[in-house]
Amino acid sequence: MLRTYLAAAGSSVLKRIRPAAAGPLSRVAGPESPRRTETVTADPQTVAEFCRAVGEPVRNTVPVTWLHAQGFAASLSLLSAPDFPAPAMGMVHVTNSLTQLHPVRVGDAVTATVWIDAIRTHPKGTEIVVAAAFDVDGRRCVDERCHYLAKGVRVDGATPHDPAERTPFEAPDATMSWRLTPRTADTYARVSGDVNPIHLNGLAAKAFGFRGRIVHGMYTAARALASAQIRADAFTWDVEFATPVVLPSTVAVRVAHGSALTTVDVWNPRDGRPHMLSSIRTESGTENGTENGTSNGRQ
Amino acid sequence: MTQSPQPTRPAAILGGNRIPFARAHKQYARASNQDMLTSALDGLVARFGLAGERLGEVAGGAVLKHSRDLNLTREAVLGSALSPETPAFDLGQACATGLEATVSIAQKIRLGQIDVGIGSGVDSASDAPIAVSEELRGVLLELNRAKTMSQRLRAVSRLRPSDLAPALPDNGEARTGLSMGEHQAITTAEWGISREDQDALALASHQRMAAAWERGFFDDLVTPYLGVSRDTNLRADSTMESLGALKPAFGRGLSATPTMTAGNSTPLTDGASSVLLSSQEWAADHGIEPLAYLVDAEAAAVDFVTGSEGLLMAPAYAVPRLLARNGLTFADFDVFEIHEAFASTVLTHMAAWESEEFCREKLGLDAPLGPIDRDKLNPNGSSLAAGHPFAATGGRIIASVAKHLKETGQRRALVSICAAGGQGLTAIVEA
Repeated sequence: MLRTYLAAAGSSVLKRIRPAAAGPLSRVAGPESPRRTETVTADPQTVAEFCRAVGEPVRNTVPVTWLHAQGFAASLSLLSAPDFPAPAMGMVHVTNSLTQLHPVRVGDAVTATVWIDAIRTHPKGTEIVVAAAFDVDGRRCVDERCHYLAKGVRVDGATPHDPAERTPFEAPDATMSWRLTPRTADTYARVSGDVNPIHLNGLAAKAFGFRGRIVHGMYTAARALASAQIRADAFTWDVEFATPVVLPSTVAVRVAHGSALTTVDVWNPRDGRPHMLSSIRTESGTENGTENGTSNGRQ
Repeated sequence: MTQSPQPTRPAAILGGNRIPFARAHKQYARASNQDMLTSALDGLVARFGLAGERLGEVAGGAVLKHSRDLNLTREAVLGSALSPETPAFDLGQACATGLEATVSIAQKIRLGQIDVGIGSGVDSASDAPIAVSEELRGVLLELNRAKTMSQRLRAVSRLRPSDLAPALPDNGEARTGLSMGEHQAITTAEWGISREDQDALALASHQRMAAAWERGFFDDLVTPYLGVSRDTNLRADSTMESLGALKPAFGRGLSATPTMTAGNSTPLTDGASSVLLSSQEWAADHGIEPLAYLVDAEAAAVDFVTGSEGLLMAPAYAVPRLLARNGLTFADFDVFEIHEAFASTVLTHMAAWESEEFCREKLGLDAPLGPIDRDKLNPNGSSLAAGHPFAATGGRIIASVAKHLKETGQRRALVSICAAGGQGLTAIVEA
């Protein structure tokens, strides 16, 4: 994984100097783009370690956040391929949309298929949509779209797109408080395999413009999903990342349960600015939101 | 085979003994939970002449409990003057532990399983269990499981200097990370409980408990310990001015003006308590006149994790169920012993029972339960004055209220204790 990051960093530097050769984007994104496929067994011990790290109960089912981590290395290697038109390092995870159709169980052999779904225009640069599908015995269990923003990067031929407005946020009274420390990021890096240096090294984080190490956005999201205690087999989960959590921090959290919609918001209690807004829908029929994906489900 | 329900018999409260409660890290700083519980039991043994007696069972527990204290109550029994053949068990229901222990013993007596037993509880916030950090614990366990040198090295390589820092128990709720005070601050703000009302309740608690000490009410309920002969948190000279001068301690991050201070919240306290219960026959055989009877109990729990109800609001739900089962209303009670975790806890419970909306929407009642006469509330003071060694509070209240009924000739008391985890336990004590 560290090697993947080094490769990503190397290719990112090269792309800064000499942009990737222009060619039809359909070669790297969309239905015809290359797929990375890998089959991993959801080892009960490994999944349990992940669960302990993000606050999920250790159960016979696999949290979708563990599945996300299994697709992450493949997505990073796709984003750092030589012919990919934007540098992978410095990309920001802005939103994440995931639908679970059926739960994956520990012991299942999960086939993860990862591809670049779209490269789209964004007012601040270019948005990359990475798709991941998780199948067990040929049955689709989970579908995911991760939206990354390459700030200040223009890609010729990017699909014109108007991203959804950010969900307005006014800090309510908190129902929870989480203490996040550098060890939180160490542990999440270990169990997820995401060893991006902005999470693990203060100097690296500063080099990328952060005040210090920041916690993995997907850690915050995973812990939020765990806090929602969703026990439905099928659900759609939308996450909007707003500002990073610089470590150490104590963040404010509110979990709000509706009949079919649960929201979990995480913000900075000092200035009221949101870190992450998320929602989980358990009704059937609302699941196609993930295909277009940028909506956070609350509008 | 069909079985008819067994007839039950009354469970008498014969008396109690506790050590004076002391603020944490003071006089009892070097006493363990087991030390304090043993002392409380020995005081009870001395008071009722139980030395060498084999009792039916002793129940007890502690909230802040070291993992080695798996048999805390049994160890205390073994260290006490009771017969070593007296069985004991530990249980836990956060701050309701002491009351649940007493209720458990009462129910065993009611069912005829035992004739006599002790309900007890203890807590030390001073001699607190310290654990290694979760990270170090993970590495140590991983090392233990490792079979090869490379597995061991991989485990050790995870270790960072900060992992060596010990983990102290904290009062945060496991699922929310918010302290109990911060949770209650949210509830206090929702119910609009004023600072003045909270301070007045705290003042009354101190004044009534001071008066009770003065007239010797606690003389046969408390045995001095380690040079302490009165609850050290008690401030007989408290005034509205002195309480009003304190700065808010909780709820400072909320939109509402914070109202909860160190004066109208309970401090961390060390202490232990015990209550002797028996059948009427056992009491008569031993020439002991019962103080009162533990008649019934009801627990409730609320969903505080999502914020849909306040952490400490469960007693507001338990009480109406307990009343309905026993066909009683507030008018049938002479005394209300509501544990003062915070002054605002008591005040929100009472506001809830007076609220038509709450009683209709949340409790499903046609009419509110109604107000509680302040003169009947905590007549000898409660936790704001005595302090609150979590698991010891139940025993303090049951012994005190039983004696109060005996002394005043009053008939019936309602006991209510809120607990962490969104729980509450309530009980009826009758003369």
